[in-house]
Amino acid sequence: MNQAPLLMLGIFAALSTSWFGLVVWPQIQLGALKPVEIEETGEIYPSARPGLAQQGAEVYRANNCAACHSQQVRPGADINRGWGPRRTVAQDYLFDAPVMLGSSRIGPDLANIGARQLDDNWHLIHLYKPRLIVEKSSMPSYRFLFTKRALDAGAKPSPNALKLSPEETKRLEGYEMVPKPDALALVAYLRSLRADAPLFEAPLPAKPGLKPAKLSAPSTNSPAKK
Amino acid sequence: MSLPTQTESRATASAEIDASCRLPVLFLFTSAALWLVAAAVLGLIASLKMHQPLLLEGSAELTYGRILAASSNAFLFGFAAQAILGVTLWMLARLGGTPLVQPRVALLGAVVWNLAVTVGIGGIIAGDSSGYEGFEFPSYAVPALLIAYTAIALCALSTYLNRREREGYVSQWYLLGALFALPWAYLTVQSLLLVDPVRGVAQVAINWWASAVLREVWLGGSALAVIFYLVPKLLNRPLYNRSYALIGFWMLLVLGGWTGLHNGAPLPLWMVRIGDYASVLMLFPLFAVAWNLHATADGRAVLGAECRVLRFAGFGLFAYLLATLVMVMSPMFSAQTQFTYFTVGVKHLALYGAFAMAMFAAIYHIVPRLSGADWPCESPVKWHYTLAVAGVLLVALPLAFGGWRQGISLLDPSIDFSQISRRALMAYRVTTLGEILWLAGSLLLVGNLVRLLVRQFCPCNALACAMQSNGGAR
Ligand code: HEC
Repeated sequence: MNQAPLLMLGIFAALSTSWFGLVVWPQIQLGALKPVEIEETGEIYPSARPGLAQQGAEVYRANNCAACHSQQVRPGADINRGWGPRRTVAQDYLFDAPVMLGSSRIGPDLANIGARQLDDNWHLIHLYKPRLIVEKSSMPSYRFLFTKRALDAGAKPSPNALKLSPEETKRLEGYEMVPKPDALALVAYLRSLRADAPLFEAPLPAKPGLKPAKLSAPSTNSPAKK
Repeated sequence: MSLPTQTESRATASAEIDASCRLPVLFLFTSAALWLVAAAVLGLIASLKMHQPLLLEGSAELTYGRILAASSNAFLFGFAAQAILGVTLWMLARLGGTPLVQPRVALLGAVVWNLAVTVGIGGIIAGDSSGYEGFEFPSYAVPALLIAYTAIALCALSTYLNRREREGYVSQWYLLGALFALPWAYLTVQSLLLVDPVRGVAQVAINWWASAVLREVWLGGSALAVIFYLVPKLLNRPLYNRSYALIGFWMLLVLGGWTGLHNGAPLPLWMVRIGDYASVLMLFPLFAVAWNLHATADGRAVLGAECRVLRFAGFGLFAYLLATLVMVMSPMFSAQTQFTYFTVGVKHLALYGAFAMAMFAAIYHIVPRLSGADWPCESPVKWHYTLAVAGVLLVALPLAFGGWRQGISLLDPSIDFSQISRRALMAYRVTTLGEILWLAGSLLLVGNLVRLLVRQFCPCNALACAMQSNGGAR
C-alpha cells in the first residue's frame, strides 16, 4: 500500500459502495413514487400541503420540533399507543421537504396528530404554554409565536386572541395574547399531519380510521382505549 | 517498521517539520478549543431546559430545538473538524518526514472555515436550520465551508504526496479516509438535500448515510488514527500487526456508511436489512482494532498510565470500543431503544468519550512540540482529564440507563406517556451536572492553550519565564 494513487482509489471505491446503495439506488427505486388513488374514497394520496400548512412546516423546521417529536409510526407498540392506525411508509412522506422523521421521542409521535387533535385553540394554547394543558409538561413554551397586546378597560377581546381560562386571563392583567401568523401556520401544519389513508402496502386494520380525540380531551398522551 | 517514531525521525529533522506546521496547526487547535467551549455552553443550556422548560422561554433564538442543533454543529464542525484537520496536517507531515506544504494556505483556509462555521451556527440560531439532523447548517453557509476545507485538504494531500518516507503507517490511511469522507458526505447533502432536495424518504436514506459516514469514517477513523499513533509511541512498542490494522481500516470504510439505518424506518426493507448485516459485520474491524492494540500494549497499563496523554487516548479507545459494540448489537434491541435517550447516551459516549478524548490526547501531545515548551504545569492537564471523564460518564450513563427504562415503558401502552416523560427528568438532572463538569474541563483546555501560547509569543515576559521554570519541573 505504498502507492498513493492506489490508496486514494481504494478509499474512493470503499466509500462508494454505501454511497451507491443508499444515495444513488434509492433515487432509482423511490424516485418513481407517485401519488396513488385510494380505492375506498377515490382520493389522491398524498396531496401537497395547502400553502398555510406548508408555511407551518417551515416553522416546525426552524424551531427543530423534531428534536423531541418523531413522525414515524412503527408496527406494533406505536399503534397500540394510539399514534396511528397503521405503520407509516414511503408514500406518506412524498411531498415533505425536509422529511422530519425525528430521532427522539421526548414528546409523542406526531405522524397522526392531525387526526388526533382537531381543535385549533387547543393547539394554540398548548404552544403558548404547554403546562396549561399537561401538568409538568417538559415541552418548552413557544410564547414568541404570540403577541402580547394591551386591552383597553372594558373592551372586548379581539376575536383572534387566545381563549384562555379565567385564571390565566386574570394573570395577564389587562393584556391578551394574539397568535402571530407563524403560530397559525404551525397549527395548520399540525392539523395536516395524518398518515391514515389505507394503502396497498400498509392497509388499515379491520376497523379503519382513527377515532379523533374529543375536543375536550386534554391530550392523547393517555393510553389508547381498545 | 511499524513504530511511528522510527519512520518519522529519519528523513527530515522533526524540528523543521514542526516549525512548518506551527501556525496553521496551533490556530486550528486553539479555535477548535474555543468552539468546544461554545458547544459545551449551548449543551449545558439545552440540558437545563430539559428539566426547566421555563428557562429563557420567551426567546425564539434560545428555544430548545435551535440550541440543541447549534450545540451539536458547533461540536462537529467547530471543534471536531478543526481538531481533525490540525492532527491531519501535523501527522501527515511527521509520518511522511517532510515539511507541511503551503502552511499559509492552510492558515487562510482555517480562518475562512471559522467564519463559515460562525455563519452556519448563526443561521441555525436565527431559524434557518436545514432540518436535516446532523447537517443543520443553512445551505448558504456550506460553499464557504467546502472551499475552506478544500484549501486545507489540498495542503494535507500535497504533503502526503511529497512524503520522503515511503513506508506507510496505519494512521495515515485513517486520516486520508477521513479527509475524503467529510467533503464527500457534505457535498452529497448540499446538492441532494439542501439545494435541490430529492423526493420523499430518499432524503432520509441520504441523511442517514451521510451521518453514518461522518460518525464511523470521519470521527471514528480520526480517533483511531490518533490512538494508533499515540499508543505504540508512548508505550515505545511496535504496532503488533500491520495486516490487522489494514483489514480493520478497509472494513470500516466499506461498512461505515451502511450502519446508520434504523429498524421500522419507512424505507425499502432490503436497505434496513443490509444496514443490520453491516452493523454486525462491524464486529470484525472492531475486534481487529481491539486485539491489535491489546497485543501492542502487551500488558502495559494504558488507562491507568502515568502519562496523561496516554490516559486520554486510552479512555478514548475504551469508549470507542464500548460505543461501537453497543451500536453493532443494536439491531437486536432497537425496537426498544430506538427514539429513546438510550441512543442519545450512546452517541454521547461515541462523540465525547471516544472521539473528543482521543483529540485531547493529540492536542496535548502535539502542541508542546509545536510551541517548543511543555505545558505550564501538569496539574491543569490532570484536572482536565478528571473533569472530562466525569463529564462524559455523567451524561452518557444516566441517559443510557434512563433510556433503557423509557424504551421498556414505551412498548407498554398501559403506561401513560406523561408518566414516562416525568420519570426521565431525574436522568436529565444528572446530565446537567455532567455538562457542567465537561464545560469546566473544556475551559481548562482553553486556559492551558492560551497560557502556553502567551508564554511562547510574548517573549521575555519575566513572569511567564518564572512560571515556566516552576511548571517545567513537573
Ligand atoms: C423539549 C422537547 C419538546 C420540543 C422541542 C417540542 N415538544 Fe411538543 N411535546 C413535548 C412533550 C414532552 C409533550 C407531551 C406533553 C404535552 O403534551 O405537553 C409534547 C406534546 C406535543 C403535542 C401534543 C401531542 C399529543 O399527542 O397530545 C403537540 C401537538 C406538540 N407537542 C407539538 C410540538 C411542536 C409543534 C413543537 C415545535 C414548535 C414541539 N412540540 C416541540 C416535548 C417537546
